[in-house]
Amino acid sequence: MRITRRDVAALRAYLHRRMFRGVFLVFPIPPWRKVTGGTVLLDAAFRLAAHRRFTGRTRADVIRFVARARIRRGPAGPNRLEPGPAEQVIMSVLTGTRPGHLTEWQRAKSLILLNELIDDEHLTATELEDFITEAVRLAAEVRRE
Amino acid sequence: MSHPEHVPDDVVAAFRAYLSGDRELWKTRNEALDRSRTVQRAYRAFVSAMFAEAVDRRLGRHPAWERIVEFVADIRARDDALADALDPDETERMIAWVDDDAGIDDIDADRSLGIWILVVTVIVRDADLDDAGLDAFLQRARTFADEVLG
Repeated sequence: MRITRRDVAALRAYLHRRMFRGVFLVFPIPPWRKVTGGTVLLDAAFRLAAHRRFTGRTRADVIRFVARARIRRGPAGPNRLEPGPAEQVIMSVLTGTRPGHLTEWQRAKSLILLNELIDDEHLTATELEDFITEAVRLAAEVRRE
Repeated sequence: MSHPEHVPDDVVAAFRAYLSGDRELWKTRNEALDRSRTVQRAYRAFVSAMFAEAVDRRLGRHPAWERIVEFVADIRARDDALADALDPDETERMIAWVDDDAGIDDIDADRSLGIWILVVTVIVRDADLDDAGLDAFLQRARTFADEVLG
């Protein structure tokens, strides 16, 4: 298993909200029981985004962030965020209670939250590329653990 | 010693002590309450009426979903104990239930009672009511509960 150019392209497409340009070939809809280069990269991107957004912050900041994300996404539909699980998946990353790979359930939530975290940073195109590069580096480290 | 058709005075007095912040008096009065089924029913009706009254006071009638989400997040962000005690999904549904009778049957009776009391406590504390204001709040809730029980 390795992280391919296609994995990186899929993450970039996802973060740019170009959802259907092959992204689901790499991050297919659940079940995600199989750990692939794409899922490792997604995990790394989520962990990176969560740490960037919340390092030095408190649980209260996570609660407020999830509430704002939920309001942006609305009360119903496939993009709906459940507050408890959303807070839990972020806190598990921040407190280090989660190993290098997300569970299938956590990954389903993190895929939605990743976009919210990135949107919240208002990154320029260059900064977004830097983020992706850093996520790839982190994913490579996870694979060696 | 049961009063099935209205909220007993000692139930109101116990919650007056609780909402005034006198936890010793609350403990004494709460422990002295009649534990019969009819009084427990009145107790629960009164707490749910206080909850409805408090939510109405704080958020108005038929608050938008977004407003409920913000409010619950604001409460839970205050400290970890509140964040742990108040499940966001359940608390939001409880608040929506005040006006639209949405289903909350899946929420355990003890959990719902706990949510009602915590939310009422926060709203009353934020409102910084004086004695007369607290009495008026309790009386409105009691009237509402008596109507339900009657």
